[in-house]
Amino acid sequence: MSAGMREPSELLYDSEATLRLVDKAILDMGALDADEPKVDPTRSGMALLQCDTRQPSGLTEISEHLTRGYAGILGVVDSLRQSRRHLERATVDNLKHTNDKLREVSDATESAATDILNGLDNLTSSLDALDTCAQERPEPDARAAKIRGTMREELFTLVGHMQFQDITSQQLHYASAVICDMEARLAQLARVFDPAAFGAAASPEATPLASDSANTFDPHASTHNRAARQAVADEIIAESLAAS
Amino acid sequence: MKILVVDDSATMRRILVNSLQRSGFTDCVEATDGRDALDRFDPSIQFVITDWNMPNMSGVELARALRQHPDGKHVPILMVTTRSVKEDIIAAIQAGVNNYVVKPFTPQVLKDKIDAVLSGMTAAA
Repeated sequence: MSAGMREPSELLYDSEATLRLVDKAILDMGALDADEPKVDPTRSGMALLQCDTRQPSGLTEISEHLTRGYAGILGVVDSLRQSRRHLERATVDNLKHTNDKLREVSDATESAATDILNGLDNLTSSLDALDTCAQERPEPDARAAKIRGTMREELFTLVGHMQFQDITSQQLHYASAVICDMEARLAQLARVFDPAAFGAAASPEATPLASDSANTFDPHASTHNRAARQAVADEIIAESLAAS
Repeated sequence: MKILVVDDSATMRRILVNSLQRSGFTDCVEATDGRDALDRFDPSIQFVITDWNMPNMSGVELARALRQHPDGKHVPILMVTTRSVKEDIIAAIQAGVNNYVVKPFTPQVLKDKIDAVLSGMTAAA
């Protein structure tokens, strides 16, 4: 055995001591409170490591490396905590607010649509009343009946246009579902950044939209190209009838 | 003719009933989703108009359920929906839907499709 080489028992002793130090440093890291500000390495791990410089030569160098590594790890852990806080803030506050606003808009359009339909019904009833009056007492101008007919058609057309509410409501539901999905993904990502969950955290997985919620809207709902889309349906129906 | 109108949107149900009444179909029953429609369905219902996307039970599920129902095997079903992808339309036909109207519809298209389904039923009978 050369002079530079050490006895296996010495090497074992040194390794055991080093592992104890590393173990203690890891335990110190795990015990850090989540809300605790940046930890001064000199208070815990570094102090522990430095007090053991009585160890055989070679260990001092290892201790210094470990101290530097430990300080670096603490910095990373602190950055992760900050990242997590930012993510949570974005998830809980901003997305929830946006989602609430979307629901508010959806409710508002439904309420407004009901009010407009009530108004259109009232106008139609008024036209019916005018027709009744005209039957009871002939009108001096024959154009009045024609004008009432035109107004009735316009009102009927307006009622049909109110379909936009159902379609925009589905579009808003879709946007809301996408935001919920994003919220869940960010929450999963935040959990990954949680130092307390190291080792247990899984990578973010896709969170499918709730099945019942997803069933209440068409993600492709649109007011565009109505005629073209109806033509596609007509063609398929015609093919189906011809085949049967 | 008694028509069952199924849609989770109160606005759409109102528009459909309004259009139907203008076309002379004054006897309408409303349901808010497929399950509600099945509860309200009885032999007096002669025509079903249903949306696709609804909570609890979709329009396609309703069509399948009606085709299994002792009184619903031959009842005409018209799907009125925003869904217009080819695969969706084929799936609706396979579920038992007789004809298909894409939203937003015009009252004339709605009437034409009802007439087409009824004339098809008459021809088949």
